[in-house]
Amino acid sequence: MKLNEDDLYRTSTQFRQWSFTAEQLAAQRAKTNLQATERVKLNVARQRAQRVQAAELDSTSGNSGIDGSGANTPNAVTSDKEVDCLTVTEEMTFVEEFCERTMALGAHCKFSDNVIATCVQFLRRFYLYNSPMTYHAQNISRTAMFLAGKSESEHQSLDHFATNISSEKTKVTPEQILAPEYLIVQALRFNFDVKHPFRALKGGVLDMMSIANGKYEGPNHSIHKTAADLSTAIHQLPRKTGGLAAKATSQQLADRIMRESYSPAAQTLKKTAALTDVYFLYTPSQIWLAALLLADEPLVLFYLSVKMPSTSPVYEKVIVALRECALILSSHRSHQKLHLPADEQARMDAEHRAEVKRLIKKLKLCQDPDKLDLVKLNQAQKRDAVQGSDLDVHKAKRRKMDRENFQKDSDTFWGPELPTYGAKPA
Amino acid sequence: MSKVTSRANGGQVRQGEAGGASPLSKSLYSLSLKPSSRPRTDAASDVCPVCKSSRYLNPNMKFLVNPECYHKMCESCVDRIFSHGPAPCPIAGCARTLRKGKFREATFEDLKVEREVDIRRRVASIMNKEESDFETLKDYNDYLEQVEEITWNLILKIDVDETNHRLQRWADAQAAETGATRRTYEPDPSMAGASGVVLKKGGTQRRALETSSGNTTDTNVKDKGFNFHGLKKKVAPPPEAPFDPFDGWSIAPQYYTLQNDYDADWLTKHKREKEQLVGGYQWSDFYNRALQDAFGGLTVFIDDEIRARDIPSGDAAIGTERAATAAAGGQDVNMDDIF
Amino acid sequence: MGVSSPAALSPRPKPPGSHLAVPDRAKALSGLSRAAKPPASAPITRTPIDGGEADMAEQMNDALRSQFVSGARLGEGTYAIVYAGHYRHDPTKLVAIKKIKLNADFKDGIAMDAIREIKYLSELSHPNIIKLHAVFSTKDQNLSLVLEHLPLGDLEGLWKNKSITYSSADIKAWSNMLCQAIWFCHANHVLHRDIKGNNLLIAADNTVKLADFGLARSFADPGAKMTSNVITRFYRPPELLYGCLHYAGNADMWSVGCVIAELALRQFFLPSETDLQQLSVIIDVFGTPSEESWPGVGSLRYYQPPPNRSAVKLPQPLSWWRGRLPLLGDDGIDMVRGMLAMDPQKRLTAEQALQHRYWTSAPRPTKKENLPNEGGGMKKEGEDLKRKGGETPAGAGRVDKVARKLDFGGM
Repeated sequence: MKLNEDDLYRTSTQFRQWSFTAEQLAAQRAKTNLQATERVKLNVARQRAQRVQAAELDSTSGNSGIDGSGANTPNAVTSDKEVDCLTVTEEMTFVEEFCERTMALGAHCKFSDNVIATCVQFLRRFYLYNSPMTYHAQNISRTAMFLAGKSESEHQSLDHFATNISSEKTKVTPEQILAPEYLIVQALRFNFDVKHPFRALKGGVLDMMSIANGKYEGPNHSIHKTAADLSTAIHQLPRKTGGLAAKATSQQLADRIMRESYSPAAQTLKKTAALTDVYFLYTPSQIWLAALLLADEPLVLFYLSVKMPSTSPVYEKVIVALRECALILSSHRSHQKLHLPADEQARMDAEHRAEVKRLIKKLKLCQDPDKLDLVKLNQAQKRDAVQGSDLDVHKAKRRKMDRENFQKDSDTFWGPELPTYGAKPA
Repeated sequence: MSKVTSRANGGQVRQGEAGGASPLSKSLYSLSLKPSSRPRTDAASDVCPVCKSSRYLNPNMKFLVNPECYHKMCESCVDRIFSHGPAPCPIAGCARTLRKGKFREATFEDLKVEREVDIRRRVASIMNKEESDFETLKDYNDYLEQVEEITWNLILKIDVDETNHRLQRWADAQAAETGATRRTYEPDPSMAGASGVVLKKGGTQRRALETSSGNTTDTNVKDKGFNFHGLKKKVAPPPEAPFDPFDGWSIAPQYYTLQNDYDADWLTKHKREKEQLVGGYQWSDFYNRALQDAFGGLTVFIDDEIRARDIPSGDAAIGTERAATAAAGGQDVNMDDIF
Repeated sequence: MGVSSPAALSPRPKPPGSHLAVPDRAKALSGLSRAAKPPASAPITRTPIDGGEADMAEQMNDALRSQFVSGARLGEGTYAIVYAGHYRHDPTKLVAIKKIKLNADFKDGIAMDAIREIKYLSELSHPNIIKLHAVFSTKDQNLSLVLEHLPLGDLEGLWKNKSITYSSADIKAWSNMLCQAIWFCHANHVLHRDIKGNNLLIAADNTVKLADFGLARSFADPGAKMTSNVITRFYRPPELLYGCLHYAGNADMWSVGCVIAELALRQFFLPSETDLQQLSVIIDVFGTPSEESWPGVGSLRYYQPPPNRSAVKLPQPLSWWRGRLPLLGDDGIDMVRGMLAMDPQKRLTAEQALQHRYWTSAPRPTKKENLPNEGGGMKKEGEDLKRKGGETPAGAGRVDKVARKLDFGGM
């Protein structure tokens, strides 16, 4: 089995399980949204009806009991309005917002960039198969962070982590953090490895530096034949595509590569790349080159022409992929902001904040009422499973009888089961 | 030439002895079961022909034979005569040189049978073709027929020298073909007298034979001693490739060559840290990993490669099933599942 | 309705034995029976169940789980229970199902061992590394790893089983498979950190497979601190015993050297009772490390210089190795000594080890099909199916006997 870098990447779970075409991504999100919407509407309607009945009961018995769902803030069940669910776009904005908040949270907990980036990808992968209407990103992001720490060998003890993320206003208990853990690993399909472009960028820049220093030994498909020729050529690269060739000193070139190209590209990878779909759509290798392309196009194009013959169709395809990927990165809010004046930036931020605020408010009214308390849900599931696993033959028999009796009872009550049930629920 | 004569002779003898039935069974029958034409008394068979001591007096007496001449004598005679090295057979009119080491107990009471079995064993070890080595069954049967003839020539002492030579050449040819170590054919020592060649010692005889046969194979490679019709050309198995400790696995980058060292500001700081190097940290590991990351998947185009593969979409049941398949590693070439 | 969620297909309340919690049912029933007329709208007839209907992820998990049938229990350790199993659609496709136990001592949710094992096994695909077919979770929130079925025990069982005789060519064959596994791990930047005889399992075709990645982690980033409290003691290299926090693939290579020596010796190569004693056992063989033989050794956390000149030990000469490991031959001894260099910088890397002349010198490693094993050879595969519950051999993915020590903080 002869393997090259590409083959190794193909064996990764990131490629096998978490790479999609743009259409596949859109379809999956639409499906997730549809399912969540339906479920929220069903569950809300059911709970509202129960509430009404309970209220009727209470009024007939003259008892002003407290409803179990009676909370101070209005939520989906207590509100009387028609449930207005999030759209796919709104969901994405919402998840993105929480990814950004998670980055801040990670930095607060002193996790490395690697853990934070992994956590963000865990969240994005999770919300591909789950809607924030079902599971609120606030809860999920904490657990995802905890999990990412464990996965990246930067484990913080649960108690320590819980204290770390608790603030004056909100106290987070260890149970709250653990409750959705299985939920998350299941949605992640037990894939814990995320391949990031950070180390790749470093590797690429080191390789470029060895070209600059005239020590390059790698494959060379360019017109410049020797390492010394390559070094001369890279010193003469124009600053902008189509610009005039300039002669740079070694120091200037080193600055150009390390400061003017590497630093902004690293920043793009850390922030923008994590907030967009590029991890799903492109390989880490393409992502770092795209990020660098935004910072220094002539450098990347020169570098690629060294790596592969510029006449080959593969070269063309790589360039196309890099430009597409770069477009996704550059059109993202966090990247656009960089090139705007301060007041424009402030305006964009304000707009964004307002939108997020609206979404958070809207979500309150369309949150799946069954999934609000994850701790209880988790306990119930465990209890249920423990009962299930303790089944011995005797118990199983008794259960079966119970079930049959119950079926009889319910049949007399509900009438026999409907053979086809296709009616759309209200 | 001699083939024809031997065949004719063998045929005559066989017919005369066994009346044309299956040669082997008949010969065994005639040699061992049929009451011998020369009646022997039990008493005679229990007396050592050399020292004349009788089993009657010594119930533990053991008789030994030497395949040089198959003359029977008691164990104490063997000890007495041959303990000091090779000596001539004490039976009158034999005088063949015998060695103590070759003496053994006869398996069969009738020494003719003993001898025939020895011969058959020797021939069978050389003429060891199987049915699968021939193109047709008839060719195989013809071969068996010929082998039987050779065997009978040796048993009946017809053209012994010639036959032995041919067997040796055949053995050499076979060995050369398979590339195996040369198997030496040991001709029946008892034939030496019959062929009129007087040899002092078995060893000398063997050596002489080896050299002569060696010469023949050298001078006349084509002469394999025998020619069998329809024998498949032996295809020697390809020589075993040298052992590959990696078993064919390799990881060879296509877009970079790992250099011994790389320079960058932020590296210099780390590089000075001796603390890392004491524990065996290797910068080349980092360089390799960083560059592997840098180019891993550069020419993997997800849009093309993934398009063929569906993610859960459309029908829920089918979608999840596919996802489950994918999760189970359905993409993996190692899993020859029905997915 | 285009997409129907599964629960919407069942208008009746779920019977007991499903997720239904009894109080809810009672409430729903009683509430409805007292109501003047049952509400006409369909959704209300649906029962509120704990956890609701299955999520998409849960459906996928269930679909995956239903592909496998779990059978007899093969063994139990501190960290997992292993069951025999097979694919539902094809009972001849055997697997081992390793169910991770909830660890009472580890309060932090899913165990690190499980996460690591799943993470790295999912990424590594090599014939000498145990294959992870799938992972699923069960209702009681336990992870189950579906692993390759490896019925013929492990390398430690092999040398301990005195009824088996093996030769230097066999040792070479096993060692080679081990080295290939490690080479592949390191080439993919994964440290195993627990290489030992009973983590090297043997497949039905006699292939040696590296298993138990519960302590594995990725490596190579400069400055990254790793715990020194890994690798079972007999196989732990001196730099870890000295408390070093920066190490690399060569730490695994020490363990590999120990395993190969152990195979040739048919007993543990460097056994000891405590970590401290382990160090002195190592020094007895390899000599007291000095700044000349191991630059920088004095800076290591737990390093203690010899109290006086007479306490300085010299390394054993080649003749000692020849006397102790005659089965390896001079080439094998040279390689093993290369793997067991005190200074990790001088130790052979996995790739260098595989390029050693030992592999190509005589005798040629035994072919897989001719290797001795603890079972009935190739016949065993078929017999596995006939075997009754209690008679199962030591199973695949078996848990180790040596309790692992792991410092979860300060990774």
